[in-house]
Amino acid sequence: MHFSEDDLREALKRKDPGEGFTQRTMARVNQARVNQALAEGTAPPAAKKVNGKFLAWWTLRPAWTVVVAAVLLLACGIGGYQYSEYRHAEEMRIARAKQQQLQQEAERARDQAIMALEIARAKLNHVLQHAQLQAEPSDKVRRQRL
Amino acid sequence: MEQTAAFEDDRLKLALNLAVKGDGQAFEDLVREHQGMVFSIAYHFLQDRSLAEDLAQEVFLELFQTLDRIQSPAHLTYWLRRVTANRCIDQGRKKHRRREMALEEAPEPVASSPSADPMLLERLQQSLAVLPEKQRLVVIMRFQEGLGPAEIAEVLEMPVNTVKSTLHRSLAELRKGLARKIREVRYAFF
Amino acid sequence: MNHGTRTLTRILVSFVLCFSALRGSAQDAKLQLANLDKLSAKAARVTDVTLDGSLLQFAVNMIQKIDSEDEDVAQLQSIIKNLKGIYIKSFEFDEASQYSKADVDGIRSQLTSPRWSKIVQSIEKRHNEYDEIYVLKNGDHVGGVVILVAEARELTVVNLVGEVPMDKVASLERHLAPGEKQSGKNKQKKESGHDQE
Repeated sequence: MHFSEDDLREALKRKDPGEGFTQRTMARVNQARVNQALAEGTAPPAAKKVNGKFLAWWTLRPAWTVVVAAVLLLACGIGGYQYSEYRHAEEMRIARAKQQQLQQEAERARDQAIMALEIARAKLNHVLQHAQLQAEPSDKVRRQRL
Repeated sequence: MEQTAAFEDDRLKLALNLAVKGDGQAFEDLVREHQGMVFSIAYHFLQDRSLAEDLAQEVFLELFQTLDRIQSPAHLTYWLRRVTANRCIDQGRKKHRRREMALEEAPEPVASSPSADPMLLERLQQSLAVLPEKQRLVVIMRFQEGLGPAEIAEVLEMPVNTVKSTLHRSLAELRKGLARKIREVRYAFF
Repeated sequence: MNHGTRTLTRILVSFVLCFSALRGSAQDAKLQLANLDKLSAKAARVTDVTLDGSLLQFAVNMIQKIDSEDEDVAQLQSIIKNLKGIYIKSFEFDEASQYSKADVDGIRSQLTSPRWSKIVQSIEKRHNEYDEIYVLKNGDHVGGVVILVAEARELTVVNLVGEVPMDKVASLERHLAPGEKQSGKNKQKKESGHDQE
């Protein structure tokens, strides 16, 4: 059975990974960010008991340290994510507006260029025709007589 | 209003710059832009949807961790193809998938054009699955991604002449594999 | 275009191509036309075009992207791709003698250098018409063109900078313009597209 290169291209056409792929991927990426942050964090050293029990409250067990750090990180992450989302939307809006403006300028320039070349064409032919008429006065007289 | 290629490139450059700075939304845009390509390379190589999705996610995870090394949208495309190909080879070696696939395990049929024979396309995918890894990737890069031999050589880190001979050999093997499949089907029926 | 004009065009093109190489810069090819701006107040119709730098590049990119098998589009693309600047000042008056000889001499004085050659001149004193075409030699190519139309009720200066394929400009089809049908909209508006580099 024969197949063509087009058949192969058809068989190997790009496929959509399906609904939710982007969200699942981003979830993994965000999870990795949190894990990385946790892995890089270190438990605070145990506070010296300078005044005995007075300072003891801020000596946390490592597990709790991790939990507190994770909660803080998550809170910062969510806040930061929302802020960056807003900033991204703003920057995209400005970029789109700039692109639109560039597109309009380009179209205006194109129309001007075409009009300018049409004027150049018209004037060039105008001058050439005048010059040609002057070069053949006898033809002109002959035509007038006819 | 026609969107020119230059404006599209500007949009991707902007998303890349923002993603490097840590903008999650921008990174998501990049994922959405390239997920089809990455997933398809993995899927056509592994012939398994869930494995392909896993692999694709890992590629994007790796991208996230090394985003600052990406210089441009074109570099990003090249990087994604190269990393996906390398991971496919690693995965392929792990799973020892160099075996014949039974008809029941055939991948889901592609949405084919009216002129293409769906059975043919299915057989082609099955035959592709038994090619050696490098050959399979060369075929995928050529016919899925539309890359030329020089580009394939760059992505797969092979000499250009090797790419050309590999492609030639792969197509010959695909034809042989396809003929064998047809004989098996005929034998099953008769 | 009739046979005579075609012949003259061919002679014109051959004349340009036969010239030996001489160096020239785009700057020499660009005329100073600002002294004509004062005529806008008296003119019934003004066309003012300044297209160079990035604005011209925009136009070139847009035109080059037109995907068409139309020969005229291809002609337009081949003309514009090597242009560095397009400058036009055109004034149409309701009455004669609205501009002076000094206005025109101010243009001609910029065309006296040896690199400029007057290749066509048409004078009709009865109707006060003085039409000229100048070409700037730039090596083997044309580095610039000036078309000067000084008539009783019209003064037009067209200054093209860059490699100008004159035969193609002359044979460019009229319907490629924003349109003769739209000519009222384009010519009556005082248009100016300035780009400061």
